Amino acid sequence: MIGIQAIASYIPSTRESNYLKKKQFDIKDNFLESKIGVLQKPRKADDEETSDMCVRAFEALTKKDNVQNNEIDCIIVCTQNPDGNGLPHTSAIVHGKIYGKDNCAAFDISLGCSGYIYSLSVASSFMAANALKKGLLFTADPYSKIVDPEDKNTSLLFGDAATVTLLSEEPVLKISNIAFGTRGKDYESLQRKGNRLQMNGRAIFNFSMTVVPPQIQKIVKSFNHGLDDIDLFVLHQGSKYIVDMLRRRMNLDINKVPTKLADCGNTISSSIPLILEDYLNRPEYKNIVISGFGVGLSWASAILNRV
Amino acid sequence: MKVDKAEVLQLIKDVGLTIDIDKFGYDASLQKAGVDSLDMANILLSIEEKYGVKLIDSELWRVDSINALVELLNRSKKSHNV
Repeated sequence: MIGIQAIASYIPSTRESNYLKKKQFDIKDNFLESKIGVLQKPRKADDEETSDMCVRAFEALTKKDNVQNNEIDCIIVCTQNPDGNGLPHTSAIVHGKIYGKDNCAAFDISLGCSGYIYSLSVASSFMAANALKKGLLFTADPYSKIVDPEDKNTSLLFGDAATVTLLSEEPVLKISNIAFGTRGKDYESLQRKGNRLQMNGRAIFNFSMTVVPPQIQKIVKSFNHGLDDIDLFVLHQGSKYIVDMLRRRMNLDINKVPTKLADCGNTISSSIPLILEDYLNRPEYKNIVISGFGVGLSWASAILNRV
Repeated sequence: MKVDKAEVLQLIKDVGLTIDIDKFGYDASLQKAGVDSLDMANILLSIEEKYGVKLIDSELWRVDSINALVELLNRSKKSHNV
Protein backbone atom coordinates (compact mmCIF):
# COMPACT_ATOMS: atom_id res chain seq x y z
CA MET A 1 0.00 0.00 0.00
CA ILE A 2 1.42 3.34 -1.13
CA GLY A 3 1.12 6.24 1.31
CA ILE A 4 2.95 9.22 2.81
CA GLN A 5 6.30 8.34 4.38
CA ALA A 6 7.83 11.79 4.85
CA ILE A 7 7.33 15.46 4.02
CA ALA A 8 9.89 18.25 3.75
CA SER A 9 9.69 21.83 2.61
CA TYR A 10 11.53 24.88 1.42
CA ILE A 11 10.42 28.35 2.41
CA PRO A 12 12.56 31.17 0.98
CA SER A 13 14.18 33.26 3.71
CA THR A 14 13.38 36.59 2.05
CA ARG A 15 10.16 38.04 3.42
CA GLU A 16 7.92 40.83 2.18
CA SER A 17 6.05 42.54 5.00
CA ASN A 18 2.35 43.29 4.57
CA TYR A 19 2.63 46.05 7.18
CA LEU A 20 4.49 48.05 4.53
CA LYS A 21 1.41 47.88 2.32
CA LYS A 22 -1.03 49.33 4.89
CA LYS A 23 -0.88 52.85 3.52
CA GLN A 24 -0.97 51.74 -0.12
CA PHE A 25 -4.18 49.78 0.43
CA ASP A 26 -5.66 51.86 3.29
CA ILE A 27 -5.89 48.94 5.70
CA LYS A 28 -5.46 48.63 9.45
CA ASP A 29 -3.42 46.22 11.58
CA ASN A 30 -6.61 44.49 12.72
CA PHE A 31 -7.64 43.71 9.14
CA LEU A 32 -4.23 42.25 8.38
CA GLU A 33 -3.94 40.24 11.56
CA SER A 34 -7.49 38.97 12.12
CA LYS A 35 -8.84 38.78 8.58
CA ILE A 36 -6.07 38.28 6.03
CA GLY A 37 -3.85 36.60 8.62
CA VAL A 38 -0.74 37.05 6.48
CA LEU A 39 1.82 39.34 8.11
CA GLN A 40 4.69 38.60 5.77
CA LYS A 41 5.14 36.52 2.67
CA PRO A 42 8.19 34.48 1.60
CA ARG A 43 9.56 35.58 -1.75
CA LYS A 44 11.86 33.54 -3.95
CA ALA A 45 14.85 35.26 -5.51
CA ASP A 46 14.30 36.68 -9.00
CA ASP A 47 16.68 34.15 -10.53
CA GLU A 48 15.32 31.23 -8.50
CA GLU A 49 13.17 28.94 -10.62
CA THR A 50 10.30 26.67 -9.60
CA SER A 51 12.59 23.65 -10.10
CA ASP A 52 15.21 25.24 -7.82
CA MET A 53 12.62 25.49 -5.06
CA CYS A 54 11.78 21.81 -5.54
CA VAL A 55 15.47 20.90 -5.31
CA ARG A 56 15.78 22.83 -2.03
CA ALA A 57 12.79 20.91 -0.66
CA PHE A 58 14.41 17.65 -1.77
CA GLU A 59 17.65 18.63 0.00
CA ALA A 60 15.62 19.19 3.18
CA LEU A 61 14.06 15.74 2.72
CA THR A 62 17.43 14.02 2.40
CA LYS A 63 18.47 15.63 5.69
CA LYS A 64 15.48 14.32 7.62
CA ASP A 65 14.91 10.99 5.86
CA ASN A 66 17.38 8.47 4.52
CA VAL A 67 16.27 8.75 0.90
CA GLN A 68 18.66 8.51 -2.04
CA ASN A 69 18.11 10.02 -5.49
CA ASN A 70 18.89 6.68 -7.19
CA GLU A 71 15.98 4.92 -5.48
CA ILE A 72 13.31 7.35 -6.71
CA ASP A 73 11.01 5.73 -9.29
CA CYS A 74 8.84 8.72 -10.11
CA ILE A 75 8.88 12.51 -9.77
CA ILE A 76 5.70 14.52 -9.98
CA VAL A 77 5.55 18.32 -9.76
CA CYS A 78 2.24 20.03 -9.08
CA THR A 79 2.45 23.60 -10.37
CA GLN A 80 0.79 26.20 -12.57
CA ASN A 81 3.89 28.41 -12.52
CA PRO A 82 6.47 26.05 -13.98
CA ASP A 83 9.98 26.84 -15.17
CA GLY A 84 9.85 28.90 -18.34
CA ASN A 85 6.51 28.27 -19.96
CA GLY A 86 6.27 24.64 -18.93
CA LEU A 87 8.26 23.20 -21.82
CA PRO A 88 10.01 21.06 -20.84
CA HIS A 89 8.00 19.90 -17.85
CA THR A 90 9.46 21.10 -14.56
CA SER A 91 9.56 17.54 -13.18
CA ALA A 92 12.14 16.64 -15.87
CA ILE A 93 14.25 19.65 -14.87
CA VAL A 94 14.02 18.62 -11.21
CA HIS A 95 14.98 15.07 -12.21
CA GLY A 96 18.08 16.45 -13.90
CA LYS A 97 19.02 18.71 -11.01
CA ILE A 98 18.78 15.96 -8.39
CA TYR A 99 20.56 13.46 -10.68
CA GLY A 100 17.66 11.03 -10.81
CA LYS A 101 18.15 7.63 -12.37
CA ASP A 102 17.14 6.96 -15.99
CA ASN A 103 14.32 4.54 -15.23
CA CYS A 104 12.35 7.17 -13.35
CA ALA A 105 8.98 8.54 -14.47
CA ALA A 106 8.50 12.31 -14.39
CA PHE A 107 5.46 14.44 -15.16
CA ASP A 108 3.74 17.64 -14.05
CA ILE A 109 0.22 18.14 -12.80
CA SER A 110 -1.48 21.46 -13.54
CA LEU A 111 -3.65 22.28 -10.56
CA GLY A 112 -3.66 24.99 -7.91
CA CYS A 113 -5.07 24.93 -4.41
CA SER A 114 -6.75 21.52 -4.77
CA GLY A 115 -3.58 20.12 -6.33
CA TYR A 116 -2.06 18.33 -3.37
CA ILE A 117 -5.03 16.02 -2.90
CA TYR A 118 -5.44 15.32 -6.62
CA SER A 119 -1.70 14.70 -6.90
CA LEU A 120 -1.65 12.34 -3.92
CA SER A 121 -4.35 10.30 -5.61
CA VAL A 122 -2.66 10.33 -9.03
CA ALA A 123 0.79 9.56 -7.61
CA SER A 124 -0.28 6.73 -5.32
CA SER A 125 -2.47 5.13 -8.02
CA PHE A 126 0.26 5.50 -10.66
CA MET A 127 2.85 3.97 -8.37
CA ALA A 128 0.59 1.08 -7.35
CA ALA A 129 -0.41 0.35 -10.97
CA ASN A 130 3.21 0.25 -12.10
CA ALA A 131 4.79 -1.40 -9.05
CA LEU A 132 6.92 1.65 -8.23
CA LYS A 133 8.43 1.67 -4.76
CA LYS A 134 9.36 5.28 -4.04
CA GLY A 135 8.05 8.49 -5.52
CA LEU A 136 8.46 12.22 -4.91
CA LEU A 137 5.47 14.52 -5.11
CA PHE A 138 6.51 18.16 -5.26
CA THR A 139 4.28 21.19 -4.85
CA ALA A 140 5.76 24.53 -5.95
CA ASP A 141 3.61 27.32 -7.32
CA PRO A 142 5.40 30.66 -6.83
CA TYR A 143 2.64 33.19 -7.43
CA SER A 144 5.16 36.01 -7.06
CA LYS A 145 5.71 35.40 -10.79
CA ILE A 146 2.20 36.63 -11.57
CA VAL A 147 0.90 38.72 -8.65
CA ASP A 148 0.46 42.42 -9.38
CA PRO A 149 1.96 44.30 -6.40
CA GLU A 150 -0.67 47.03 -6.93
CA ASP A 151 -3.60 44.61 -6.62
CA LYS A 152 -5.08 44.64 -3.10
CA ASN A 153 -7.08 41.45 -3.76
CA THR A 154 -4.04 39.27 -4.32
CA SER A 155 -0.81 41.00 -3.30
CA LEU A 156 -1.46 40.57 0.45
CA LEU A 157 -2.16 36.86 0.23
CA PHE A 158 0.25 34.69 -1.68
CA GLY A 159 3.64 33.39 -0.52
CA ASP A 160 6.28 31.31 -2.31
CA ALA A 161 7.12 27.85 -0.97
CA ALA A 162 7.80 24.30 -2.11
CA THR A 163 7.18 20.95 -0.48
CA VAL A 164 8.10 17.38 -1.27
CA THR A 165 6.17 14.33 -0.11
CA LEU A 166 7.91 10.98 -0.16
CA LEU A 167 5.43 8.28 -1.16
CA SER A 168 6.38 4.68 -0.51
CA GLU A 169 5.24 1.26 0.65
CA GLU A 170 6.31 2.18 4.18
CA PRO A 171 3.81 4.93 4.90
CA VAL A 172 3.12 6.85 8.07
CA LEU A 173 -0.22 8.00 6.66
CA LYS A 174 -2.38 6.18 4.15
CA ILE A 175 -4.80 7.98 1.87
CA SER A 176 -8.50 7.14 1.83
CA ASN A 177 -11.98 8.44 1.10
CA ILE A 178 -11.01 10.99 -1.54
CA ALA A 179 -13.63 13.21 -3.19
CA PHE A 180 -13.18 15.65 -6.08
CA GLY A 181 -15.14 18.56 -7.51
CA THR A 182 -14.94 21.02 -10.41
CA ARG A 183 -17.00 24.10 -11.28
CA GLY A 184 -15.52 25.13 -14.60
CA LYS A 185 -18.27 27.63 -15.39
CA ASP A 186 -16.77 29.94 -12.76
CA TYR A 187 -13.15 29.62 -13.92
CA GLU A 188 -12.87 33.39 -14.45
CA SER A 189 -13.13 33.98 -10.69
CA LEU A 190 -9.42 33.18 -10.38
CA GLN A 191 -7.26 33.27 -13.47
CA ARG A 192 -4.08 34.51 -15.07
CA LYS A 193 -4.82 37.20 -17.63
CA GLY A 194 -2.02 39.01 -19.44
CA ASN A 195 0.44 37.26 -17.14
CA ARG A 196 -1.23 38.82 -14.10
CA LEU A 197 -3.35 37.07 -11.50
CA GLN A 198 -6.95 38.22 -11.22
CA MET A 199 -9.27 37.18 -8.41
CA ASN A 200 -12.90 37.90 -7.63
CA GLY A 201 -12.67 37.68 -3.85
CA ARG A 202 -16.41 37.48 -3.21
CA ALA A 203 -16.88 34.68 -5.75
CA ILE A 204 -14.01 32.67 -4.25
CA PHE A 205 -15.39 33.21 -0.74
CA ASN A 206 -18.88 32.05 -1.76
CA PHE A 207 -17.44 29.05 -3.57
CA SER A 208 -15.29 28.01 -0.60
CA MET A 209 -18.09 28.36 1.94
CA THR A 210 -20.63 26.42 -0.10
CA VAL A 211 -18.63 23.50 -1.53
CA VAL A 212 -16.05 22.60 1.13
CA PRO A 213 -18.22 21.78 4.19
CA PRO A 214 -20.55 19.36 2.35
CA GLN A 215 -17.62 17.58 0.71
CA ILE A 216 -15.84 17.14 4.04
CA GLN A 217 -19.05 15.94 5.69
CA LYS A 218 -19.54 13.46 2.84
CA ILE A 219 -16.09 11.87 3.09
CA VAL A 220 -16.23 11.70 6.88
CA LYS A 221 -19.64 10.04 6.66
CA SER A 222 -18.34 7.56 4.07
CA PHE A 223 -15.57 6.77 6.55
CA ASN A 224 -18.37 5.83 9.01
CA HIS A 225 -17.33 8.60 11.37
CA GLY A 226 -18.58 11.99 12.52
CA LEU A 227 -16.66 15.25 12.43
CA ASP A 228 -15.92 14.84 16.16
CA ASP A 229 -13.95 11.67 15.41
CA ILE A 230 -11.46 13.53 13.22
CA ASP A 231 -8.30 14.61 15.06
CA LEU A 232 -7.16 17.32 12.68
CA PHE A 233 -8.57 19.33 9.79
CA VAL A 234 -5.89 20.67 7.47
CA LEU A 235 -7.69 23.17 5.27
CA HIS A 236 -6.15 25.04 2.38
CA GLN A 237 -4.88 28.34 3.75
CA GLY A 238 -6.85 30.66 1.48
CA SER A 239 -6.86 33.39 4.11
CA LYS A 240 -7.41 33.46 7.86
CA TYR A 241 -10.96 34.62 7.31
CA ILE A 242 -11.76 31.73 4.96
CA VAL A 243 -10.28 29.17 7.37
CA ASP A 244 -12.10 30.76 10.34
CA MET A 245 -15.43 30.88 8.53
CA LEU A 246 -15.14 27.28 7.29
CA ARG A 247 -14.38 26.20 10.84
CA ARG A 248 -17.40 28.15 12.07
CA ARG A 249 -19.70 26.68 9.40
CA MET A 250 -18.69 23.14 10.35
CA ASN A 251 -18.63 23.94 14.07
CA LEU A 252 -15.09 22.55 14.42
CA ASP A 253 -12.89 22.85 17.51
CA ILE A 254 -10.39 25.68 16.92
CA ASN A 255 -7.58 23.47 18.25
CA LYS A 256 -8.22 20.97 15.45
CA VAL A 257 -7.88 23.51 12.64
CA PRO A 258 -4.31 24.80 12.46
CA THR A 259 -3.27 27.82 10.42
CA LYS A 260 0.13 28.65 9.01
CA LEU A 261 -0.51 31.94 7.32
CA ALA A 262 1.22 34.64 9.37
CA ASP A 263 4.71 33.88 8.13
CA CYS A 264 3.99 31.89 4.93
CA GLY A 265 0.86 33.31 3.35
CA ASN A 266 -1.29 31.31 0.96
CA THR A 267 1.19 28.99 -0.74
CA ILE A 268 -1.39 27.37 -3.08
CA SER A 269 -0.79 23.60 -3.40
CA SER A 270 1.94 23.76 -0.73
CA SER A 271 -0.32 25.04 2.05
CA ILE A 272 -1.63 21.61 3.08
CA PRO A 273 1.69 19.68 3.07
CA LEU A 274 3.37 22.59 4.92
CA ILE A 275 1.00 22.01 7.83
CA LEU A 276 0.97 18.22 7.49
CA GLU A 277 4.76 18.25 7.86
CA ASP A 278 4.32 19.54 11.43
CA TYR A 279 1.91 16.74 12.37
CA LEU A 280 3.33 13.80 10.40
CA ASN A 281 5.23 12.28 13.30
CA ARG A 282 2.70 13.01 16.04
CA PRO A 283 0.95 9.68 16.66
CA GLU A 284 -1.93 11.24 18.61
CA TYR A 285 -3.30 12.52 15.28
CA LYS A 286 -4.78 9.34 13.84
CA ASN A 287 -7.43 10.54 11.42
CA ILE A 288 -6.70 13.72 9.48
CA VAL A 289 -8.96 15.47 6.97
CA ILE A 290 -7.25 17.47 4.22
CA SER A 291 -9.18 19.77 1.91
CA GLY A 292 -7.98 22.02 -0.91
CA PHE A 293 -10.07 24.45 -2.97
CA GLY A 294 -9.49 27.29 -5.40
CA VAL A 295 -8.48 27.92 -9.01
CA GLY A 296 -10.53 25.99 -11.57
CA LEU A 297 -12.72 26.25 -9.70
CA SER A 298 -11.60 22.96 -8.24
CA TRP A 299 -11.83 21.29 -4.88
CA ALA A 300 -10.84 17.98 -3.31
CA SER A 301 -10.80 16.43 0.15
CA ALA A 302 -9.43 13.22 1.63
CA ILE A 303 -8.91 11.42 4.90
CA LEU A 304 -5.41 10.39 5.96
CA ASN A 305 -5.22 7.50 8.44
CA ARG A 306 -2.19 6.81 10.57
CA VAL A 307 -0.74 3.39 9.86
CA MET B 1 -43.63 38.67 1.54
CA LYS B 2 -41.36 41.63 2.22
CA VAL B 3 -38.07 41.15 4.01
CA ASP B 4 -37.99 42.73 7.45
CA LYS B 5 -35.01 44.98 8.27
CA ALA B 6 -34.78 43.70 11.86
CA GLU B 7 -34.39 40.21 10.42
CA VAL B 8 -31.53 41.40 8.21
CA LEU B 9 -29.91 43.13 11.18
CA GLN B 10 -30.04 39.86 13.12
CA LEU B 11 -28.57 37.98 10.18
CA ILE B 12 -25.69 40.47 10.04
CA LYS B 13 -25.08 40.00 13.76
CA ASP B 14 -25.08 36.22 13.33
CA VAL B 15 -22.22 36.46 10.83
CA GLY B 16 -19.97 37.18 13.81
CA LEU B 17 -18.78 40.76 13.37
CA THR B 18 -16.24 42.15 15.79
CA ILE B 19 -18.10 45.49 15.89
CA ASP B 20 -21.36 46.23 17.72
CA ILE B 21 -23.67 46.83 14.77
CA ASP B 22 -26.56 47.76 17.12
CA LYS B 23 -24.86 51.08 17.81
CA PHE B 24 -25.49 52.18 14.23
CA GLY B 25 -28.82 52.99 12.60
CA TYR B 26 -30.43 51.26 9.64
CA ASP B 27 -29.27 54.08 7.36
CA ALA B 28 -25.69 54.17 8.63
CA SER B 29 -22.87 53.26 6.27
CA LEU B 30 -21.77 49.71 7.06
CA GLN B 31 -18.31 50.48 5.73
CA LYS B 32 -17.93 53.48 8.04
CA ALA B 33 -19.22 51.37 10.92
CA GLY B 34 -16.26 49.04 10.35
CA VAL B 35 -17.72 46.29 8.16
CA ASP B 36 -14.86 45.37 5.83
CA SER B 37 -15.00 43.70 2.42
CA LEU B 38 -14.64 40.19 3.85
CA ASP B 39 -17.45 40.70 6.38
CA MET B 40 -19.57 42.12 3.58
CA ALA B 41 -18.98 39.06 1.40
CA ASN B 42 -20.04 36.89 4.32
CA ILE B 43 -23.15 38.99 4.99
CA LEU B 44 -24.18 38.83 1.33
CA LEU B 45 -23.69 35.06 1.21
CA SER B 46 -25.81 34.63 4.36
CA ILE B 47 -28.54 36.74 2.77
CA GLU B 48 -28.39 34.76 -0.48
CA GLU B 49 -28.63 31.48 1.40
CA LYS B 50 -31.47 32.60 3.68
CA TYR B 51 -33.64 34.23 1.04
CA GLY B 52 -32.71 32.11 -1.99
CA VAL B 53 -31.67 35.08 -4.13
CA LYS B 54 -28.58 35.89 -6.16
CA LEU B 55 -27.11 39.33 -5.47
CA ILE B 56 -25.16 40.50 -8.51
CA ASP B 57 -21.92 42.48 -8.02
CA SER B 58 -23.07 45.23 -10.39
CA GLU B 59 -26.11 45.88 -8.19
CA LEU B 60 -24.10 46.09 -4.99
CA TRP B 61 -21.78 49.00 -5.62
CA ARG B 62 -24.03 51.57 -3.92
CA VAL B 63 -25.49 49.31 -1.23
CA ASP B 64 -23.88 50.35 2.04
CA SER B 65 -26.60 50.35 4.71
CA ILE B 66 -29.09 47.89 6.12
CA ASN B 67 -31.98 49.82 4.58
CA ALA B 68 -30.31 49.79 1.16
CA LEU B 69 -29.67 46.06 1.52
CA VAL B 70 -33.30 45.40 2.44
CA GLU B 71 -34.47 47.47 -0.51
CA LEU B 72 -32.21 45.55 -2.91
CA LEU B 73 -33.28 42.28 -1.38
CA ASN B 74 -36.99 43.05 -1.84
CA ARG B 75 -36.33 44.02 -5.45
CA SER B 76 -34.37 40.80 -6.02
CA LYS B 77 -37.07 38.67 -4.41
CA LYS B 78 -39.70 40.34 -6.56
CA SER B 79 -37.77 39.72 -9.79
CA HIS B 80 -37.13 36.13 -8.68
CA ASN B 81 -40.85 35.57 -8.13
CA VAL B 82 -41.58 36.97 -11.59
